Amino acid sequence: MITSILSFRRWLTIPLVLAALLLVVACWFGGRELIANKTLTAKLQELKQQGVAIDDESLARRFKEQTHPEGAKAWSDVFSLLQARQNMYGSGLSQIATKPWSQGEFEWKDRELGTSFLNDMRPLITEIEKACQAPKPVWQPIHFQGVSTLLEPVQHARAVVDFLGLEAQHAIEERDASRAMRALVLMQKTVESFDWNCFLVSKLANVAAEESVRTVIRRSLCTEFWDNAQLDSLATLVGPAQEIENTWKMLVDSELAVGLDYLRQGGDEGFGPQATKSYFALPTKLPTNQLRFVNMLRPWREVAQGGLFGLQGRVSAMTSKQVQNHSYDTFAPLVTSWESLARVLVNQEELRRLTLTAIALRRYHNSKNAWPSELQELEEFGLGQQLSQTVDTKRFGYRAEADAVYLWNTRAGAVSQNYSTSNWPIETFDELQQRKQDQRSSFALGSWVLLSAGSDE
Amino acid sequence: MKPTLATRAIWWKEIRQLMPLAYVLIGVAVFTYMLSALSSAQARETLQWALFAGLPSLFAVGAGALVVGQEKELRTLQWLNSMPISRPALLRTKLLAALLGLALMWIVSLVLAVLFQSPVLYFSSGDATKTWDLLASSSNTLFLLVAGFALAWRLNSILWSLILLAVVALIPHLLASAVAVGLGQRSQNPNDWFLAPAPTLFAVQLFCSIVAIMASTLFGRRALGAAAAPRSVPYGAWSSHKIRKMPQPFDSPFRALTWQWYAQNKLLLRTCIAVSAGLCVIACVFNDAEFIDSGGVGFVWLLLASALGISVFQSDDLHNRIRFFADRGVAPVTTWLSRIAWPGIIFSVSGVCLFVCLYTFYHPHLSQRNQHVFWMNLAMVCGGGIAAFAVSQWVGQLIFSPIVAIVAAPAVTALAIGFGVFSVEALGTPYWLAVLSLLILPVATAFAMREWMDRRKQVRFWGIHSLFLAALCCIHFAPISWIAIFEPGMSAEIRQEIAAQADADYAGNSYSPVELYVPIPGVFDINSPQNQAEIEEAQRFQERGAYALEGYCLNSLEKQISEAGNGRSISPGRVVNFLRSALKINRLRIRSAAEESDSPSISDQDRLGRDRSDQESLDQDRSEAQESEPADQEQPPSPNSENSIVAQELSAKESSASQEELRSRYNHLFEVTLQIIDRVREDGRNLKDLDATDILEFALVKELVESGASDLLDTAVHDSAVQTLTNIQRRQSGRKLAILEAIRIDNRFAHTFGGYVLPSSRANSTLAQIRAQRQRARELVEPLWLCATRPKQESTAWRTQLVEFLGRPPAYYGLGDGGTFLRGSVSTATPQLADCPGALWNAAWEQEALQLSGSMHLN
Repeated sequence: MITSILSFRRWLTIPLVLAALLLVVACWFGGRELIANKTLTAKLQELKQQGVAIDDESLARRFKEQTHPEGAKAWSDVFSLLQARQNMYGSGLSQIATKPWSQGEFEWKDRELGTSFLNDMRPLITEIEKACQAPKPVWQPIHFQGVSTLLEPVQHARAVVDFLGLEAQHAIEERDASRAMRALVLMQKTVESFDWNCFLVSKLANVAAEESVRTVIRRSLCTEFWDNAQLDSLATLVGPAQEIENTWKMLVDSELAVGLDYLRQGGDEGFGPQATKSYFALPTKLPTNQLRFVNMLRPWREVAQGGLFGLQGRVSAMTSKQVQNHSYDTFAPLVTSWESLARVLVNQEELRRLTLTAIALRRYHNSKNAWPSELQELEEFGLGQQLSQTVDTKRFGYRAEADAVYLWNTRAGAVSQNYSTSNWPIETFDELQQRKQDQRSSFALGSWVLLSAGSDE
Repeated sequence: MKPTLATRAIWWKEIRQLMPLAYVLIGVAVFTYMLSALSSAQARETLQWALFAGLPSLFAVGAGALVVGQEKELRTLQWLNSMPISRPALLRTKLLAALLGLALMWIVSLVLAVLFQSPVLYFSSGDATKTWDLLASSSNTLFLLVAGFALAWRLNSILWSLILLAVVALIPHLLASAVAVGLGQRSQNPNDWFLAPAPTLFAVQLFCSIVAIMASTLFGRRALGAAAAPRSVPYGAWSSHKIRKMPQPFDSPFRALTWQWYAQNKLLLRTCIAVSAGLCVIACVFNDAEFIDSGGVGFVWLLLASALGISVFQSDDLHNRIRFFADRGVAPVTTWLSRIAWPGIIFSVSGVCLFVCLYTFYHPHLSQRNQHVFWMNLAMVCGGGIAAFAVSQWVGQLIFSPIVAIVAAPAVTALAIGFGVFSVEALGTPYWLAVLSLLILPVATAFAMREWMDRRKQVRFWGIHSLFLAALCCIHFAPISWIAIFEPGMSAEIRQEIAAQADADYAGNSYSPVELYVPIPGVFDINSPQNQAEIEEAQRFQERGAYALEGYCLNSLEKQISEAGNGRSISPGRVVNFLRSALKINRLRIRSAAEESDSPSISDQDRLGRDRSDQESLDQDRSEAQESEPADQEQPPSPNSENSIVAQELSAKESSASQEELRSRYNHLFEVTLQIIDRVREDGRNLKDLDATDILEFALVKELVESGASDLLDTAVHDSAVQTLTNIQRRQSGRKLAILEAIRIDNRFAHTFGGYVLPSSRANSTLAQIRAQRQRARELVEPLWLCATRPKQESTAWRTQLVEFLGRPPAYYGLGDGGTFLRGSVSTATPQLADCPGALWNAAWEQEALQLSGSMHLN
């Protein structure tokens, strides 16, 4: 037997060599992960000390610190009531309007039903008014579960904005300026109440909600509806530019916590309660991968330094760089939205300026019963040069016709409300007309404003 | 011997020769059918389809090799030639016996399909396409059988005849595709362009079968003829050329045995290496081919693994060669190692090479999602390959007949894989453990080596194999047994308490409540003509505005409650939101109307004046309607009546409803809500219904306490509400009964409890279900029971258990950030609570409700 075994030595060499190789590989792998784990722990500790959220717990804490609990109950009541009463109208607002403001346009589907709905919900507006008096942003009970976190209040807030948009539109059509102004103010306050700067998705939803407010304003400016005092109120309502550097950092930080949670969980198929654990969860749980993710995300914090000017270019450059390093591809599901966010933020600011310019134009017309020949003439109405141009300092397009005035965004890549892009600049009025004909629906009110000289549109 | 007697003897011999194959295949099929009956619906359908056509197909593949090849192998052809029977008759008898066997196998397959309710029964539906598919399958088995005969007559090696049969089997398909293209019958689907329609395939296969019969007759006559001496060396025999190349001398028996095994199976090994190399080339060069995506490479590799597994022992079975070593005292372990060394190495190396090629050249082309699928498929193919190799070598030792072993090996492998899938899916055995457990089979063959070498298949041989097979099964059942024994469930004290309570209080008869609904157009399901009429009526009210629709819904609810009768309970889940919001909006309307009447705004004065005059008309309209139809206060107006026109004009003016009317509506809402609460509290035994009632009671408490709405209510309504809300004993006994009902109804299903869908609904294996049941008893039933029966005790720990089990936000159970906020203040505002069993039990609102007792007017 011993002789037999000894005679196997040649054959035993093969598995032994293989085993030795495997051992070397295992040691290298184990060592690498140990070092990565140590580095990751130190890095996360450092981030934690800086107040950056790195997990659900710290994210919840940060959320609590940044928000105010006073209005939480009132807002919850509003959400509940709106949701329940919308059910009285079948599929809710979609039965009343074919295009709600959140799509950048508005069109009644059943105006009578809308009137009935608004009458029914009138007491709710008073409740919203009460809720809006609470300090902002408002806290809501959110169960932080990483990427599976359900941001129901954001959706509810969006529904409130849509509802108020309906009220504003109805009031404008009824020529009831005070009611319209009240609805617009409440829309803006609702947006501010839920501007958490926590989670990319939440921010995008909030920007879209704010854009609904401005779209209603721009739409209302088409006719002679507001007096000068009300136009001043509208300009105040549109407000100053959003502080961008810090907002961007906060969003990157919140995505760090979410992404790390996703990796620690081993990745999911689907979201929320229906999520199922991946069969091959191990690779994402490795410290090396988590460290790579942290290292990949950290440079994004500084991208917004320097403001909106050139932001999209910087984001594209960073994306290209990370694509070359393959890190972006690996974590693409977690961080694919930075380019979208940059585009949305630039667009938000430009539409803010466009709205302010449109208000100034209407103010000019109210005062002088004529339209200015150039946008520079609006300076006497408080519109600085910066407000009548794009973020890359390109002046807005302006054309005063006999019966109407056109104001439009000239930047290439300017987006309409539903984020469809125009890939070339619209320099001339003819190009604008062509564009309107080509992309009637998607172009819509997002990138241009029509101000009528008459009292009716 | 008379020719007829000889023919009869040949018939008997042939059928006896085919019996082992039939037994093995039927045994495997029955076992697999039984496994499939325990598997998930999808796996069952796939398995049973494969079994239905697979059983006769495998028989057809093996029959030729068995009936003809074995004669060659055992050198009995000369003996047959000596029988008083003509060669054509001999050939005919063999073929007819095999055809008879095939027909019997089809019948057995059909019987099994009927017994196990296989999807094949759908063929009886008269679908012409499916009937043609069935006919094409049967003609395919016919062709396989006669082609197998032809090859077995033509070739001397059984193994090669079987391998070549796999290639020849494609011929009818290729021909049929060519014919289909010629006839313009090509499939529209680009992925199926090579598939011919079933009728064409059937016809071509019949034609090919006739050709194969002719070839079989030709080759058979030659083989039986005097000049039919073997032209090449029989399978595995050593030629003088090979002997000359034998290296000398061997320094150990192991080396000699290994060299001997290699020489014996050189051709097979080289073929396997060539096939592996071919697969690697496909993976490297044609990395975007459909062949890889559709799993073709994996399938061929599985066949390769099976062939290598079979080769371990089968070449030694021929003519009992292994006895040569046994008689010379060669150690069984040495022999076993020498037999398994080459196939094992080629199997491992081919697997590693194929993986490297696929990972390097194929994987990068895949999308991110498909890359995920790649790893999953790779793991499955890897497990399948190990199973194929381990099972095939085991079958090779277990079955002494090489032909039966060769045919049975893929079937037994499929059975083993099926068992593995069943084990992983149904028993919850970890995948890695299921694969590792297969290593028991090589160990079993090593232990039974002595008996195998001695060709003694006696008790000891079967005992060893049975023991190892039992060990393998034990490994598969180990996790579930562990869970069944050691997974903790409910504490003994609570279990006894619940059992005692069930004996004492619980009648346990069937419970089927009437589900209430709100007939809102677009929300209410339309299931019957009666409902259709109701929804049309509701639409007319909706046109008059939300206020009118709300009144209609209230009347409808009252009607539903009265129609349910006293004997049946009601289920309020779908009306909770409507009632809660209606209560609140009406209170706000009254307040708003009161404020407006105190200080009407200038801009609204004209409109209000108009509204009031309109309101008078509307009131008159309504009072007339009430007089004529006292049972239905909100009858829709006739489209032709003047009053209806007035009402429609005013439909949008809900603010015009008088304060008195608003108060009346508010009281009405309270009454309907109280009716629902009373009915559910009296008869309700569904946990979710009781929790929905909790939400309704909570809403009433908030209306009375927080919103100060008691001054808006009539005395009788107020007192009735207080009486209902302060009856805490009735509430708690209802909860206990609901828990008992939930245990009774949902005991078999771990994914529901008391009408709630639990997070463990993904538990599809028995192991997961047992675990889920234990966990449910420990983390759901026990804390719920404690909350229901011990209202005065601190319940934080129990609620924490509920949160962890249900995966709901802790705040919904009054824990963590916002816990007090949700539980104490605005639970009415969170419809999500409808998914949280027991979330409102023993919360602050129940104490607030108790305090209401002092406010009763009758006191």
